[in-house]
Amino acid sequence: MPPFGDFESFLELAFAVNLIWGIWGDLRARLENRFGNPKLKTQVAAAIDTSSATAVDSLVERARRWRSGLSRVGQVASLAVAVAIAMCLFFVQSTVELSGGWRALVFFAMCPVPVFAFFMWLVNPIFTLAVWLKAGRVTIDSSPIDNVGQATKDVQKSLTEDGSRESSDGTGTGSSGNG
Amino acid sequence: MTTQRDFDAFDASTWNESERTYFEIVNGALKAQENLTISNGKPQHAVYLLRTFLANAKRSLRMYSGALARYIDGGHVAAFDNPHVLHAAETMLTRPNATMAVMIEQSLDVEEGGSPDDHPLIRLAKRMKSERRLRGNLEISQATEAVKSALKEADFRHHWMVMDGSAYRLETDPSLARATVNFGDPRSARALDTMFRALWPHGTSVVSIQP
Repeated sequence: MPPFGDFESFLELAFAVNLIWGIWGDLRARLENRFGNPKLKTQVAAAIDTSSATAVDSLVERARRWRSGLSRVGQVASLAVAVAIAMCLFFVQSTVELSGGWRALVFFAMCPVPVFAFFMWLVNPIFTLAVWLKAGRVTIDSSPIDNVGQATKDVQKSLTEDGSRESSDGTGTGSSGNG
Repeated sequence: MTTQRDFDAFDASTWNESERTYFEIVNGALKAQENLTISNGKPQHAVYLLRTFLANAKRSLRMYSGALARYIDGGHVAAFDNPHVLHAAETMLTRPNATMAVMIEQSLDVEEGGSPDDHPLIRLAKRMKSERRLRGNLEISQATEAVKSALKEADFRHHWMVMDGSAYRLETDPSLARATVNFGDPRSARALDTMFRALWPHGTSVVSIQP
């Protein structure tokens, strides 16, 4: 007997696991978009904003297509592999009695998740690395916003001194509005 | 004059994959008020942000600007003469007590020989007032030499705008068209707001339009 009972039960399980994995993958992608790495988002936005559109565009577009394409390939491949392994095992199990260790190994091999996960583990770092390589070259100068507090103090001091000078020589400029 | 060069920031059908990604990041950060420093130097991106700030300002928009340019990028991209920007300004000025306060370094960008009333933003506010639709305030002030020299002495030669004291856009390097925007850094936004309020009493009024 196959580890999951009859052949049909195994196929149902294989499909179910694959479906759950697909849903999780989609959910994870949405979560990544919502709570994604801020530094990476900053770098990507900077690369798009400061580079010529076509240079970054080709990278982002190709990476996205590649990623989604491979996801589809991964899903189909994982399912195909799972079905193929299941069919092989079905025949093996029907003729050979497996020990506990081999049975566990077969159980792992039959599950489509590791196959699909392998694709994702392979693809995600490559995608991230590709974006980093392109976007990582862009630097954002944060010094003006870091210095605004000190600059405000300097401006206030300067304007106060200037106002005092104008008051003393009677050349004050008018002020307006309520800011 | 056209509002488009490569793509139109207000027409999603003209965006390529990169621009779509960029606007997704901007809109996501706005929605989540995320503390994310987003580069915003490209002229189309800058005008998109201007529209975004105007459309979302509930109480105040304070801006230290060059001349409230009608067009930027050598006249290729419409800024204050952009219908989307003006529509957003109209939205803001219909909000009761909302205040748009602008201090300009140079003279208002109007047609040669024109008066401040010819500026699209002022024309809009005056039209809204005559139609009794104006609920907010528009204040435009000219930076005096004292203001300019104080900023120069402080080595702070940037243009910026602050929305509701919580989000800001800061031009970090105007010569290279570099700017950053952040929707979730109230500390920095407040600092820029404080700077603006320190400068404001030292400007000279260009126009003040109230309901």
